[in-house]
Amino acid sequence: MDIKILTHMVEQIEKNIPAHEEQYLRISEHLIKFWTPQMRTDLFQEVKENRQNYSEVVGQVVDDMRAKAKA
Amino acid sequence: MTLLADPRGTMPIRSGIGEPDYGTPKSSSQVMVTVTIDGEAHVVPEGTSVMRAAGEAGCSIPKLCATDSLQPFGSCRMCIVEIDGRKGTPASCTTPVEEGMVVRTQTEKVAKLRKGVMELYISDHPLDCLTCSANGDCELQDMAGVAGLREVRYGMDGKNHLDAPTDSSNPYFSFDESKCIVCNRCVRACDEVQGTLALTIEGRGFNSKVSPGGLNFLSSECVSCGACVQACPTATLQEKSVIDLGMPTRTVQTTCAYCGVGCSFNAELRGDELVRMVPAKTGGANEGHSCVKGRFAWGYASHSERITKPMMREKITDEWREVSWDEAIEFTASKLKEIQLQYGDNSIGGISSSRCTNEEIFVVQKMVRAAFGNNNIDTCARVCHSPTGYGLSTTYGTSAGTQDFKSVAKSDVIVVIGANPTDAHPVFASRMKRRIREGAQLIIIDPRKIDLVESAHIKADYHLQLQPGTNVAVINAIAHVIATEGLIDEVFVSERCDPGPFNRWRKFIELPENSPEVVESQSGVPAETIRQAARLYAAGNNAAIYYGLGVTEHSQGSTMVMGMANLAMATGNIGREGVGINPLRGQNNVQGACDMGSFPHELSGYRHVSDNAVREQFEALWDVKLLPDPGMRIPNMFDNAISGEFRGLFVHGEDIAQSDPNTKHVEKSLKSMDLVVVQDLFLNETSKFAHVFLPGTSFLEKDGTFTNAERRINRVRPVMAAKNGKQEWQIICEIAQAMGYDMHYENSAQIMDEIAQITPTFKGISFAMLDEVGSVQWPCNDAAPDGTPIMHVDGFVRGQGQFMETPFVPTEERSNRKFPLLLTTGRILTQYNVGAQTRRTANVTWHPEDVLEIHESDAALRGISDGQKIAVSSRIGETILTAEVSDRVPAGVVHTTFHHPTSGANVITTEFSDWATNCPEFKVTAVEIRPADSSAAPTNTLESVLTKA
Ligand code: SF4
Ligand code: SF4
Ligand code: SF4
Ligand code: FES
Repeated sequence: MDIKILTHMVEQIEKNIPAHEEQYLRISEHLIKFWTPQMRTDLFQEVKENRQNYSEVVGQVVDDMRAKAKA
Repeated sequence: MTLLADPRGTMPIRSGIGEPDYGTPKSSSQVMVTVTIDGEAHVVPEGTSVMRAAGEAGCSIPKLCATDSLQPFGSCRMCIVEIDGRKGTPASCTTPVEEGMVVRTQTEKVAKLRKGVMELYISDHPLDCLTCSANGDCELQDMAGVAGLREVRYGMDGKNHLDAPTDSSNPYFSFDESKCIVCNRCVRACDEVQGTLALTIEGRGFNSKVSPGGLNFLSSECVSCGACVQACPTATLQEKSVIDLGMPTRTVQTTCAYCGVGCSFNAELRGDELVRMVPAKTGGANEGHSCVKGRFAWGYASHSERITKPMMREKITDEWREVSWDEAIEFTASKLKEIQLQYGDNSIGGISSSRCTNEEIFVVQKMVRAAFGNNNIDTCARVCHSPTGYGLSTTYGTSAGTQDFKSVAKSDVIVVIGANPTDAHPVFASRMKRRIREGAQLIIIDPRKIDLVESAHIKADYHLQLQPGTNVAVINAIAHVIATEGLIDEVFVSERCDPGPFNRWRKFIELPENSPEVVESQSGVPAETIRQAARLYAAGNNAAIYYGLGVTEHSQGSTMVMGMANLAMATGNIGREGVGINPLRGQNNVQGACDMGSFPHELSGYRHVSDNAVREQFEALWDVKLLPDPGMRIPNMFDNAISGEFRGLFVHGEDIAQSDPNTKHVEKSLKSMDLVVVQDLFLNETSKFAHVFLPGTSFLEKDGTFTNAERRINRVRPVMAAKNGKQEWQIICEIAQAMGYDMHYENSAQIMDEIAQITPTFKGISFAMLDEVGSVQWPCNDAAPDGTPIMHVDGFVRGQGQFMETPFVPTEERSNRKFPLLLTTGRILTQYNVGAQTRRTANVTWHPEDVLEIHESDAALRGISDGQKIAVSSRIGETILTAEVSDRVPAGVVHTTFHHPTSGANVITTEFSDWATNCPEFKVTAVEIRPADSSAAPTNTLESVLTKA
């Protein structure tokens, strides 16, 4: 799936989940609940390679999901 | 002069094969009184009419102007009785029973008077009973028999109405004025039941006659609901199908397959031929009412364009060739397996349809999860009410409307947001209008001036005519007023809601950015109007919200659903009659499609696929390993098809190429696939890209259940044999079997048994149970054996209600210099969804093409006049529509429908979607309009439909 679509999706989710201390947790929960494993893997890969293009929150989301995936 | 009627001497409680008619409505009083009728004591609820009490006791009283769907009128005097202690002979229909009342219904005195009344009626009525289309189903004929009338003394030579003309303008029923007895039932049905007030009685005395206004029925305000036809005791108002085919002789009760109201109908047949659909009084959703679609637009089921044999082709450019079922199923299964072998298990998937039965949907998602071995199952609810699922599950704990339809009768304030009930949910709209006429106040939040804003005897107290795309800003502003003006129901919130999220929400909603004054500049709604509407909603005793796709089909659809849920919790408007949050579902079985586990992340009953305990239950029952991760949503399937990872799709009863946004993108993705299998009634836009076409069954051939917008599970019974020779669930099972997964049922009742076994909210449901009680609203289980009309009464499904912050994030789709207008889409009464069914009926009389409503200032600016062909372009594409200059839309906003493939409304809609669910943003597209050079004449004229049928 085109990575541009995925990054647009995650940015929309970030805008709509209010910014407070739980924001990244709620976004990561959302992605685990509704995204296919492939979509998550593609996003991990993209953020890993181009972290500078993403907000701190998206970085935290990806870290959190990776940690959960390993657990 | 001798009458042709055969006097029977007794008064039948039902005429023909119809349901019983007790003359006046049932009383809902709990107080009982004892009355003696013809020597026998009977106990009935206070408020019951003498006529009804007698009817229920088995001693029916003759009547003409009374029928139990209408309030008593007392004009014909056929129903007179003698009551001890009362002077004269009172009309039994207008006389309520009293404790100790003694009534005599069959005395010599009343018999003589009734006979005299009947003689007057008959003296101005054609005596052609034996050749009349209503012979055997005519109350006048019955009553003449009951009154013992064999001769008419007055003759027919004097002044009469026997030469009055017949109005055949309506495509479905005729009005033969010569047979009219001016009983007023039709006028009252149009007023009381339908609420359109299209009919009046013109003139006085002998000259009085029924008038539809205008030239005739077709040109009048009439919306063809059929209520007057049903109420008419004679053949004056008669279905044309009865005139053509003769009186029906047997009946099968089933459920309408159009909108989410889910009306029950008695399909009336003569032999094996369907003659008419009569709304069932016992129908829980409709209680005897109907709209033009369910009542009349069923002819598509026998349309000559129905495909009844499987078809295949190698390439989508090849001609279709008919094949056997075995060949089609074998090819489908082997090709799907071949794709998986080459591209992986995840490379195929399926889409289920909200037009199909629960049982069909359940087996489609089972086929995908068990035979395909993935969770790539989605449903057309993705493009309509998926935000409802997300929003209501998050706040309340389950994806369902909170009320039954009856609840609206107890509402004091009704809020309609992004819905157009008189067009899209007409039978529920009639209930709503009745309540508004009784005095409930009304708030409409909609960019368009829908009928409810102002129509006969209805005027909204507030119309918040917001800019498309600003729903969340407006709902936040309403909540802001409630929070800052001390209108929160603190007791309800502290007892029923989670305090942490509530406190956080309160802080958020009180921010100045949510104030009406700020929101006015975003939404265009005056701040003071928002404030007044908010106060009305919060202060009304019972306030209910009803909403539709104007809420969900936005980039913030899910946020808006949560915003409304917050509002109901904040004001304590949840958990009793007259209140709640109520999605008006578009298609007949949207609720059921969601309930049955056809979202990629959920198994039936809204249980996530990652829940090990739930998955283990399914695995044990289905004898297969299930995946714990969500599968692809429809837009993911399209995107992955274009990138080459998704190669095979089974589309069950949905025309995605017409109904989904950004047609070019959909077509490109369909073209990219190696196998597209379409199961449907007709070749459609999607089938242009298909390799296999499997003919489906119409609702008249199905055996199963639909679940309507109030969670009511209704039986769908086969009225005729399946034209394709197989039930759809059988076809799905055969594909699964051919793929190597053993899936077998003897009948659809067994599928429901499996659903009940594995879905806690359906535990108490079976076909036998539904056949006994008629219908039931889930949850129906040990805790609620009779079902659940109102949800969240003592607590929310999730325990405590959860407030959610709802920041307003403007859509990325904005008007600009190139595309300065905002297009929003909707529906029209006579057409349904992509029009596959209604376009193949005489409903095209009213809506032969999709038009573009445009404000006169926008039209004038562009030199566009009413009826002119115009090109509508967005950054995605361009289509041609006919302009309708209208004050329904404000300047800057245009509106169209998407019922005709020729208009291609989705050629211009964009890829933007709801952030949480990917429900497309159908309701906001920036467009520009100019006069078109070419003309795109509508192809679906009435003439072409009727000659093909
Ligand atoms: S049209 Fe039928 S219902 Fe209406 S007044 Fe005449 S007889 Fe009565
Ligand atoms: S069909 Fe319905 S809307 Fe039309 S006149 Fe009869 S009751 Fe009224
Ligand atoms: S379309 Fe809807 S309102 Fe009309 S008859 Fe069917 S279910 Fe009822
Ligand atoms: S039925 Fe009672 S007055 Fe007509």
